[in-house]
This record gives sequence, C-alpha cells and structure tokens, in this order.
Amino acid sequence: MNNENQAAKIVSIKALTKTYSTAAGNFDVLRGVNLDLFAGEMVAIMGPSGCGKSSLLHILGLLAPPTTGHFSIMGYDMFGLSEDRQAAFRREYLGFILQSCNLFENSSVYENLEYPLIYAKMPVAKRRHVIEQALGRVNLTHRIDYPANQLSGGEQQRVAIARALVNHPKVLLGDEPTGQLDKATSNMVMAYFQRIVRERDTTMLIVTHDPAVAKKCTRVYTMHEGQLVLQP
Amino acid sequence: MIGLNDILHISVRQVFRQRRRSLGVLFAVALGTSSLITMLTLGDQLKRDMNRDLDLLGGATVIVAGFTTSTDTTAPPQTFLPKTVEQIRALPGVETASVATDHVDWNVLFWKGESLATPVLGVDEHYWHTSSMNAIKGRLFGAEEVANGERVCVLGEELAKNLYGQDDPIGQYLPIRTEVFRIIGVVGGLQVGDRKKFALLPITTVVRRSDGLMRADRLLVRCRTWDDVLPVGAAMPGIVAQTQGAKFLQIEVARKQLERVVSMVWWIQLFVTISIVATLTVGGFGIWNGMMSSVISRTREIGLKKAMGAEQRDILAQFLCEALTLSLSAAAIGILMAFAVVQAAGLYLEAKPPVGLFFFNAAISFAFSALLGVGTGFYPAQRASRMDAVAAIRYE
Repeated sequence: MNNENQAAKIVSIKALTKTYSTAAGNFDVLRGVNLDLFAGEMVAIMGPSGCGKSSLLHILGLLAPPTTGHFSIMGYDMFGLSEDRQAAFRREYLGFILQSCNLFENSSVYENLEYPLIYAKMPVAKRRHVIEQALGRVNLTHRIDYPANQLSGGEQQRVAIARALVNHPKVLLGDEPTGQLDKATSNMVMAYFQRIVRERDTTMLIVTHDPAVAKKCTRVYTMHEGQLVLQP
Repeated sequence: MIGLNDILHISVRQVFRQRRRSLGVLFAVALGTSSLITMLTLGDQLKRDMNRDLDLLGGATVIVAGFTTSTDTTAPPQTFLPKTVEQIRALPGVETASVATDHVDWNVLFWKGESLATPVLGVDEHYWHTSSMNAIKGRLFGAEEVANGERVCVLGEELAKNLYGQDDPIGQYLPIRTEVFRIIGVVGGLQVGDRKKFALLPITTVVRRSDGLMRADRLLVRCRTWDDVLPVGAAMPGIVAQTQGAKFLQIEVARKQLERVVSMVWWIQLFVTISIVATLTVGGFGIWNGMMSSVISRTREIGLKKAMGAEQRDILAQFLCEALTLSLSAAAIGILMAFAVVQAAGLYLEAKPPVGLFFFNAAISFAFSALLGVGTGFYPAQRASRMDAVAAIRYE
C-alpha cells in the first residue's frame, strides 16, 4: 500500500462474495474479499487452482456478477449495471490479457487489434495510426500485417498486450498472462507490463501461479479460503 | 452497436476465409436459386413450346366449332359472322382464330389421262397459323388475296407431287371445275395431316363460286396454352349467341387429350418444384449447420470479443450477417448460373428470353435467399450472442 496516499483509487472492493450453485450444493468461492487498487500499481494474486482468483478477476472484468458486496471502478458502482453498460465499461476502462490462444485465428495482427477499436466505434481512418502506436509499445510495428497464428508464442502474447492496451484502458486484468511462456519471454513480457503501468499510470491486476511474476508486482495477495491475504 | 460497414466487412472477410467449408452450401443454394429463376423465367416459354409440339401431334389446344343443322331441315344455313370471329379472337387466351368451309368439295380432275380426286377447302389467311402450317414451297395466301377473292391456291404436298412430280408447281395453273387457279405455294410436314392431299383456296373465292354448300361454317380457335382451352371453350357459346344466335352451335374440345397433357405437366411441375424446394432446404440446413459449427468452433473468439466490450447485438449482428453473406453470395452465383442457362435455353428454343421477367425473378430469388439466410442463421447467431462470456473464454 505504498502509494495509497498519493495515487487515485481506481478499484474498490468491499465484502465481496461469490457463491456457485452446484448439484452437490452451494460453493462459496469468495467469502468477503476486500481490495483497493490504485493508479500506477501492479498487484498480483496467487493461490492454488480453484481457490477463486480467476472468479475475482472475472467479477472485476464485469464478465461475471458477484453474489453480494460492494464494488466500484473509477468511483462508479458496478452493481446493477445493464449488460450494455457493462460492455461499454469494458470497452472504455478495461483490458484483458489471458493465458494463451488469445488471438483470433485466420486474422492478421492488424485485424486482432482492430476489434476493440471497432467496438469503440473509432473511425476507420484513425485506426491504423492507433494500432501502430499500440504495437510500437511492444516493439511489433513491423508485424502489423503478419498472420497472427504464424507468430511465436512470445510475439503472440505481445500482440495480446498491445490489443489490451489499444483503447488506453485504466485497468489491465491478466489471467496467467505469462503462463505458457518460457522464462526469458516471461521476463520480457513482465518488463513491458511494468513499463506500461509506470508510463501510463495504469492499474494492473495479475492472477498467477508463478512467484517470479508475483515478485515483480507492487503488492502480492494470496487467496486463502475465499479471502485475500496480503503477503509481506 | 458497431457500424454497418464494419459488420459487412468482418462478415464478408470471415465467409471468404472459411470458403472451403462453405462450398457445399454455396453450391446447393446456388443450384436451387438458379433452378427457381430458370423455371420461373422459362416456364411460360417452355409451356408454349410444349403446347406447340403437342399440338403438331394432336391439336390439343385447338377448339373446333361448327353448326349441326342436319337434324333440322327447316333451319337456314349457318355461317360464322366476321364480328363473331373478331370477338372470339379478342378473348383472353386466344392466340388466333380462323374460318374455313366445313364442307369439302370433292373435285375430280382429269390430269394426264387419269382422273384424280382433288378435295378443295376454303380457308382464310389465319388458317395457316391456327393449323400450324408452313409453306415448304412458294408462299401462303394472305389477307388481301382473301379479301379480293383472288384465284390462287395452295396445294398439299402429296397433291402437288401427284400432279407435278418433281416439277415445280409454283406459278402453274390448276383447273378446278370451270376455272383455273394459280398455284402460289405448297404446304407440307407432319402438322399438315390429311390436308396434304387438299387444294386450299381463299374462302371468299370458294364461297362466291359454290352453290351454297361451301360457306364459312367452321371455326378453328388456337389457344395460347392448354390452360386457356376450357375457359375459351366455355366463353365461345356466349359470344356466338350474342352476335348471331347459337342454337345449332357445336364446339369440339379435345378434352381427354387435354386432361392427360395437363395432368402430365402438373406432375412434371410438381417434381421440379419438389426438387427445387429440396435443394434449397438442403442449402438452408447447410447454412444452419455451418453456422452452428462455426459458433462452437469460435466459442473462445466470442468470449474474447465480449471481454473487449462487444455487446450481445454486435455478436448477433455479426453471425447473422455471415449467414446472410453466405446465402446472398450463393444467390448471386445462382443468378449468374440462371442467366447462362436462360441464354442457352433461348438459343436452343429459338426464342428471346424475357429479360424483364428474368430480372424480376432474380430479385425475388435474391430476397428469398436473404430470408433463407436470416431464417437459418438467426438461431446460431442468437446462441452466440447469449453465450456466457466466462464459459466462452475458458472454452478449449
């Protein structure tokens, strides 16, 4: 919480719960999660599989609703938003980077980055310049018209980062973003994240198994019995 | 919702990139569309041609009218008045009508030492078209020669051969009773039937020179199609009654032949229609199946798009537009195929294809294909749009 006093609070979660109903009964995956995320910080959440860290990420990304609690982004209460408003919020403020198979098949790098701009209704004439800028941040401008499925794993993940950044989101959500990369590529990707967070004052939340990734974050939490525990 | 240009661009690109997967569907819908357009465009022309061909064999579309006064000896001689013929000719479904003499004048000609029976019939200028007769030599007499009662005649092929052998009869003079008639043409071929032994004279010429037996008491009415025969046959007595009285009128319609032909054609049309519907159904099912499989194989893509901020209607519009692109592309190919078939059929049938009708039918087929695309693409598109984003992102 080193920058709590200086930076703006972007995400605020209080007493958040998530219960899944299964044939075997109700399963409480989140049991009163509290978390504040500030501009320009990168926070990691660790924990074993099935502990609820991805569920928390999906709730933060407005892809799944929580069961109870309070949750706001940029001061806007996220409860009770219509599906269209949630989609609009995702377009404007959120960016996702997933573990693998992130890119659209049979599409070029340009086309992959174009989709968020299409959904944001950006005029065609402006798109190429914006996409070139986003690719420039991950040093892939030269690959702009290259078929995405012919890129290396590291390049594909960098394209996914560029796509998540193309709309200048306030919050970046990474679900095991380096999970399928080798150590060297993983370090390079993390370096990109650190630079982006620092330069653009972006808030980033990463869900990971990898302690080396977590070590590069500002704060690290562990999900334990449905609650977040701050690591020293 | 995203802009129309973007939806179209994305959909066309997607369909083009997955074209191998869609080839079968494209072919089925294109085939169905082209068959539909061809049938609608050429159906009438084919029906007319079939009418003509069947007519050569049986005269199924010709109505023959006459008078039966033989049972009433006090009845005055009956003839078809010009105004009666004109009104019948103006009936919908009538292609042409011709008056002729019912009575055949069996003239005996002494020719090169032999007596030769030369049956003579009086006909008007419409007789040729009504009876599907063409000149194989010379020409046929026309309206002016009939109106002036000129002394010209057209011989049947067999009679001409009996009289002149290999010599050209055109320009020769044929003695009939006390007068001579200039031969201007010879009719022949399958459609002429027993008239190949006849001498055909202008009806006015025959009537003026006869003792009253030869008169315009036979009416031949050629209908456009067999569908017109019964309505025209039913309307004729009313017209005759109104213009001159129809007490002794007798109308002959080849009803049994007609019923068989109509029945045969009905079955052919039914089978053709079923084939077209089956082809389009297969095509439609193909679109549905292709779109369903596309939705399943692109589940993760749908999840990612939702995560990027795509709304439900964006996803719905994209998949619907892909189905529409597929069906309309197939329709466009079908229209091109139909155009080629119609042109080729036009050459084969020696008829000019109706261009306006073709484009009208093409527009109808295009609209139908759009309906097919929307109808079969809607459910898969709706399923894609309602997909749970988290489940879709996690889909392997």
